[in-house]
Amino acid sequence: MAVSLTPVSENKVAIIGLGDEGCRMVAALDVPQQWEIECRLWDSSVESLSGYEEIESMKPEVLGVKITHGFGCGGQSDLGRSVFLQEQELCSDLIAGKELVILVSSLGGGFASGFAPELAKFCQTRGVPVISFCKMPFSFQGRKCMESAKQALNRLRENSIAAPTFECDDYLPWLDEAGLAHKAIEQGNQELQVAVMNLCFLLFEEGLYEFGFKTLLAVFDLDICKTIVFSVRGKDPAACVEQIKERLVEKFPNGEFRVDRSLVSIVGSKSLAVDDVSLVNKTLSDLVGKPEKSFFGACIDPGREDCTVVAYLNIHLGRQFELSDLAAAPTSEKATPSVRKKSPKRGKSKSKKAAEVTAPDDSQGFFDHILRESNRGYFENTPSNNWNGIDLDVPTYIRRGIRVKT
Amino acid sequence: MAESKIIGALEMGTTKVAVLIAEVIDTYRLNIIGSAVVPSEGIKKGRIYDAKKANRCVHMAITDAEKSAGVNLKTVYMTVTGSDIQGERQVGKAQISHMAKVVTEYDVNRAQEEAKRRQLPDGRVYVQFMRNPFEVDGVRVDEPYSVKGNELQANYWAVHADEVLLKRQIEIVNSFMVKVDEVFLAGLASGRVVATDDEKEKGIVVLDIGGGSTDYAVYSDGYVLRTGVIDVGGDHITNDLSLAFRIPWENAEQIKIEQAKAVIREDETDEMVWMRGDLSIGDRKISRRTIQKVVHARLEELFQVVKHDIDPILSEYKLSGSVVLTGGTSRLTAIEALAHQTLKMPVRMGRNPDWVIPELQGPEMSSVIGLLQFAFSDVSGDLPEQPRQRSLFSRFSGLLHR
Repeated sequence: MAVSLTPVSENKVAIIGLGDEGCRMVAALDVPQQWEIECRLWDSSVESLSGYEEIESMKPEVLGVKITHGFGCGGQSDLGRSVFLQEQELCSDLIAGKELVILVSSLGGGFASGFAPELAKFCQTRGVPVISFCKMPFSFQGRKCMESAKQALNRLRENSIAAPTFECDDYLPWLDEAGLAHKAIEQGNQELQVAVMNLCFLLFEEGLYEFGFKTLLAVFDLDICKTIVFSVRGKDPAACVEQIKERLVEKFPNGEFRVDRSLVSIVGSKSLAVDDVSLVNKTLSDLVGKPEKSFFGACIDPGREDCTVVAYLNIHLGRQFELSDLAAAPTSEKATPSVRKKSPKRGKSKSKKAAEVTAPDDSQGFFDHILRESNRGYFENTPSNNWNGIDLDVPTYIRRGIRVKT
Repeated sequence: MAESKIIGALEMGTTKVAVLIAEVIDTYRLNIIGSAVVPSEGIKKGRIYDAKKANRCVHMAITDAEKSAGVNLKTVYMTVTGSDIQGERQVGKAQISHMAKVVTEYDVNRAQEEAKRRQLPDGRVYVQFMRNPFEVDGVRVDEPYSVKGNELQANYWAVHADEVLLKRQIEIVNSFMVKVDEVFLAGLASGRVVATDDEKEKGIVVLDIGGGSTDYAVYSDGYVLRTGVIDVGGDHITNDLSLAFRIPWENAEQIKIEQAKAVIREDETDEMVWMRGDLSIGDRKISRRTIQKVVHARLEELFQVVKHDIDPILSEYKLSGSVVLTGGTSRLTAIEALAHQTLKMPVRMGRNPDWVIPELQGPEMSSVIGLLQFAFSDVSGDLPEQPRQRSLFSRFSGLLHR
């Protein structure tokens, strides 16, 4: 058996850009050094990685050279899978000591579509949770491309704790007069980057990580809950709030839902004020009730004139469960919004025009995803072990909010 | 020539299926002549989830035990556990009829019948009635005969179970042409061997922490005052570790056995332990303190649940006895210290009788050995440790026998 002698990285989170688009999106992330994040750019094409040599910290690497000879997978996801098999050792080295892996990819049937699901599975089986941010292709790219992307997405969902998805078709309004899609692609990339940065911001700046990221994820994993993630954009926070309302009403027309946990992050222009953030917070609370735990974060990006709200809402589906069951859960929640001075730049993909345009359906990405993992583990599919309203099959450390250091 | 009779005890547990076969010679000597312990399959939290798998391992255990004993088993005593087994206090009152106002056998019978008359809801069946002290005009008496008074009250702790689940368990045994003679609560069976008569007089709580469930029995004045089952056992610790570190069940089980400790000592420095220790790909280091945190939280909660359940009876009877721990999970390091901290009672580890061979001395064997002793008491005609009537279950199990 091979023994890995690679020193374990101190970074606890890895963001991996896969494929051409994935690498482009990750390369444009401006991740502060104090966030313990390691970024990597992986592709099977030498050409697509050629622009990133100067970003040494992200270690751009051409994978599967023996299979593709550096020419990429040419739209064959099977090749992506084969590349993974060849590069397992590299993956093993990367995930050593990691507590979370974030995959960023654009699914279209090539390298990322084959490689990402395998990598997600590899991480999950080694106990490292994965969040997969994916971009789906435009419908005009053809049925085969779409089918392949959907298959990859389904497999990613099976092996990830969450798979936030961004539909390229939502960015069609950004097609330029000549019908070229590059701006639409760029817009989609930007929104995905905001979602990634917001999650990292919540993790490292808003205390989510210290609170016990895994514990929180485990709470999100409750099979009686469903996590929905919104990414809405408007000219100001008030406009975003309206969109969130619409989304929730559209999804839950009877209003029969209750939010147990929420993670909300706002990225706004220079004019974003604490009052605006409070407005979003208050409106959400009025709409869905005050969640037991809410994490709120906000930051200013001087380069933009609009506002984006990313909300991860943990919706309770109404079966027997009370959050008071989580008896000694930590109470150090961040209920007060804070405005961060330093903005996360979005580098190359920054689009000035984006601020001026509002998409016709007022959203850039909307998806929901039922988390697959349950925290009853071995006792899944057995009757609830109810004692005074507590399911004793759910690990005590989760119910008590004990942070587990792995 | 000495007369002998074969008796069998079967425990269909979450972790193992254990069968003991013994020979009762001249009604006063007990000699274990065969045993088998087979890892359980298809059983979680004391209940059968996969009858096919459970069937297979029960069959294997019975066959192995029969081979080692060189006899065929015809009947067995069986333990039951699982939180579907519930108990309640049942009371029957009778006006003392004798002219001199002294309690007679007639009054005792009437009070006892009255106490047992209560119909259970559909789907429930009585497993055991455990007699508690009588009361004459509200004053507790062990032996009511000839006591003067106006009203006699018979008290029982009645244990009942889910009919379907119990039936399923019995049917598996019956399918090997082995009749289930009697069923006993696993906690009571353990109590038979790990607690002394003296302790049962003074007051003791027997805590049998098994793989899938924890049985408790509270004794005082030689009576069983309370029993209960909590569906939490060693498997829950393994599950917690498996989920906490996102590792396979087998690795979590190994960590539990090798590294788990019930108490966390603040002065101990943390160290990292290898998950598998073979340094192969996928092997990784895990913080020992974190393991202990996870295990401590689970066990502390278990003891808190037990405390919550037994506190009312302890205060009602003003018991200040001790706790004896048994069951496979009681092997965990420092568990008695945690039990002492949480239950606020003196705690000791249970021991099986010396006459049992070393291979059967582990705490996980207490209940099946205790069961064998119950069977021996029944066969030999010795008085059981307390007055016990054959329950309605006997009739029920007879009906199931094919």
